[in-house]
Amino acid sequence: MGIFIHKIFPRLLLAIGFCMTLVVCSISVVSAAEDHGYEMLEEKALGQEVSFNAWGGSPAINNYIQWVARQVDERYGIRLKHIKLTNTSQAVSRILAEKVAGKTENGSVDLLWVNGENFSRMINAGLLQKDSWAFELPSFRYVNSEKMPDIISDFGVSTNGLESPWGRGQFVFGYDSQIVDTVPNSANKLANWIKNNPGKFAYPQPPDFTGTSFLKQVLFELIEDQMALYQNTNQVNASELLAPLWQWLDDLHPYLWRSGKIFPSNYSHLVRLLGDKEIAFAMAFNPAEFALGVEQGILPATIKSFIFDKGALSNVHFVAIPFNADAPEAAKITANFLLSPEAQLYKANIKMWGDPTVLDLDLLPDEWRREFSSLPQHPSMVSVEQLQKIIPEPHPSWVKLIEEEWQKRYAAGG
Amino acid sequence: MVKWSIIAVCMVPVCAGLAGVFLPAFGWFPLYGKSDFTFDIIGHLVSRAGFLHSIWLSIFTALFSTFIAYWLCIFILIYSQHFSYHYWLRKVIAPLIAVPHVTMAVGILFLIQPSGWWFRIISPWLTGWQTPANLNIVPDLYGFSLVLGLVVKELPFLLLVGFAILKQTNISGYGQISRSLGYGPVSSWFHFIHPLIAVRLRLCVLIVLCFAVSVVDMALILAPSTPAPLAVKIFSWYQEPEIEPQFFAAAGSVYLLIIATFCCGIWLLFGWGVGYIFRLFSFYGVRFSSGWRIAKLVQIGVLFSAALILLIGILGLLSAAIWAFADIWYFPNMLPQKWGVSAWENGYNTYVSLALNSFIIGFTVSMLALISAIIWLEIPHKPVLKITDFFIYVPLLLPQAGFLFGMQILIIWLNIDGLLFTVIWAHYLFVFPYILLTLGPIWRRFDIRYELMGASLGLGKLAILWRVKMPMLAVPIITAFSIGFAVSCALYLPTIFAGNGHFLTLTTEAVTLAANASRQALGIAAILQMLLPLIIFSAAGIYLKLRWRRYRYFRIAD
Repeated sequence: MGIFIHKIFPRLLLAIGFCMTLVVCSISVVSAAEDHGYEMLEEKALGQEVSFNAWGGSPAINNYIQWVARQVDERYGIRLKHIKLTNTSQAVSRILAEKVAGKTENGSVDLLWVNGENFSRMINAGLLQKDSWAFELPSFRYVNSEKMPDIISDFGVSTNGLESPWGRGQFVFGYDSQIVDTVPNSANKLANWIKNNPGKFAYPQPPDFTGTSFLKQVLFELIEDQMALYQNTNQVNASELLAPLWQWLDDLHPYLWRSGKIFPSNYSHLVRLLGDKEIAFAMAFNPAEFALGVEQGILPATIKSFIFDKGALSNVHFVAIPFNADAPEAAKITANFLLSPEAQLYKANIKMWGDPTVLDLDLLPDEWRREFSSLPQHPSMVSVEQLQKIIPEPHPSWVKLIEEEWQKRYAAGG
Repeated sequence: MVKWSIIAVCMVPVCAGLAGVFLPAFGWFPLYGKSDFTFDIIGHLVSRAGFLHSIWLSIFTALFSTFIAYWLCIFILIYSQHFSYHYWLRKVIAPLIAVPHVTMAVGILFLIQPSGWWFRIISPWLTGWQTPANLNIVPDLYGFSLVLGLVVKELPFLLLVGFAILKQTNISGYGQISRSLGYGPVSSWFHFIHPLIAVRLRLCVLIVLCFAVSVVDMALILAPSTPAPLAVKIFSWYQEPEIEPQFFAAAGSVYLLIIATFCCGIWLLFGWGVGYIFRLFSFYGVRFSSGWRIAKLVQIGVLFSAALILLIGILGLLSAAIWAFADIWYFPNMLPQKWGVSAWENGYNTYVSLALNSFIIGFTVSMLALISAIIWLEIPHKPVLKITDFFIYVPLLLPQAGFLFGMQILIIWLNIDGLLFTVIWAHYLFVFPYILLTLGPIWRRFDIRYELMGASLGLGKLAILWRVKMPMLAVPIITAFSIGFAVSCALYLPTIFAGNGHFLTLTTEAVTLAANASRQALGIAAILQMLLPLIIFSAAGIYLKLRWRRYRYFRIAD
């Protein structure tokens, strides 16, 4: 052991360092000109403190962010502080308050985990950095926006490089294989199962994110003209398009958990009910969620996952830098690290977080591609091949319409 | 002068907070491109689906829970005269007061839901259930679960204040007089002692009532959601990323303020009515002395339901604590299949620094608030200050999310955001009214003859305060301090808003843990939140015993 520490370990470090330098050099040769600006960023970022505002409800994600904090500290001398949010809108309203009070620099948020509606709200209120910094990050070269258009189009809103992709959310179902024999992998099969097993199905109450996503996922199956969902609701006959969804729900609600009169308040509540065996299904926006739950002992090992045959609703989540960030340079370096193959690989690992990568494996150097394809699998997880069936998010205006209509129909009391 | 500076410390942020609610409610928010005053938003809300139902839920749950908590408290105070169980009763209620509402809600939910602890204990041998039944127990459609949760939290608080008031009232004297007039023990209570206590308890009850109107965290877990009570709706509007709901939220807060006022009005009217009826009884000389059997039945019923409610609270907390040490615990097992501490391994090293933060903030705030409350109470009251009294209680009445936004703009504008000082200031706004509330009624009714006696012995004003009044009122002072500490410990949004998220406490950690699906994490959060206030409660008790031992014969409310 002593020999290892004194003799071999330093040499090993040297060797690793040498290899890494080689990799870094070979990359920098390719685009030396681009990276010159980036090196200047690194100089400025040294010693800066980044306050990273990110949802903090998952120990797995929190641990991953801690790992990132250690990495950027060792490599760039950046002190990353995770400000744990319960809801992203908390940070958005704080930045808004800073704007109202005229605080144009030294803002309290340097980096924010964001997507969809919160992003478009921030754009509308002018709360983000003006330049398209995200496109200029060195790691962005591994991203293929032609193959995955949602990397530069966040719920249909063009990112313009104001936010940098971080990971991918995909809508998966979890089910208790002890109760469910054959997986109901379409909206109709699910409806039949629910009718035959009353009280064993629930979905979180919209406007909860997961609950609304479930409705969108079902809507994609019930509707014939799916392209209409990518247009603004006021350009199409929305009420006619939504009619089959309400019909589907009207039929099923009497057979739901608590007869469809009470709904779980959010995703966590839903998963607790699944663990308690009150219900047989749950849903999540991370394909690894149920595998993680099994690993942590929250869920029994009989819990497995599946997606609908037509594909899984899918979107990308990002990190953004506010207009008044105190340490924008260090925030950019951090965003670049988050997008690097190394950080993406570690994040995709089911032992860590299991969040799918936003990188295009075909663009990666061979050794990284091999690493990605040898990631461990978990029996409670949907296979990577299956997850290739992607349904991109509909136009954001649908979310609001669905939530309002749902509220009127099922949550108005009476 | 001192008084005016306290008022300024409280009023300036409160006014900013009120502006942050009222201006958008009437359509004024230039940054969102709206700067015209209009009643449209206020009017539009009423026509929204489910809005009136939400209002009804808020009114019903608030009034009903306060009604139950108040009368249970009064009956327990009555019966505690005959028995000596209030000693251990006080031990039981301490943890119930110390835990925040959200922790209690989670505990109760786990206890009584169809897959909860009760049903795990009696399943499957009694119920025959291998999997939980589909019962509409909690949350229920009518808000009874929320009422239960609120009573579990508010009853101990009222009892604590009630005990302190009771000890300061000359009960046995009134009792003897009334019995010599032919009243039975219970009816003498209602004729003579209840009016005295009711007056001193009134402000506390009103705050409890307003809290019940504006409660969010507990309602999110225990209240129905189709639709939800108004406060929850406002909360979710504030959370929405779009602009329009922000205006709804502001307008909803105005409604909430009106509802709170309305409920207080109903309560006061009701209290006046009860008082009037008893005055009529006294006038006509009704004695109620013959209803012994009924009195006995009432006594058994009341004590049973009070015991049940306290038991639910204690068991709820206990079940949460068990979860913290359960690696695996599935239905229908009575206890965890596998015990362990794996949930603690994530971040146990941060808990110490979190606890330290909670302690520093809580202790400083409660100390400052206590000192200013004593100054406030010592300076003679001029009538002009009565209105400002109202402003001091505003932070407790308004929904925090909306109120804090206006305050936050002020803080950022002063360029003091993210400082420890600012966090303490924000906490002070919530702690000071609670301390004033628990201490005020007792302080104001302190027998002036003790002070005169001190003065006649040549003591100055300060010396009277320090050597006569404070030792005699040591118990209420320490109680107020402990409550202030517990309030500060439980504050979530003010800590986040004023501290930019840089000052993490046990509660900020617990709330983020509570968003997690694992009950183990919830259990840890519950234990952490219980621990610190409990330590303070017991430390206060020990300090009282040691430091002021020689005063103990003169002490009021022991």
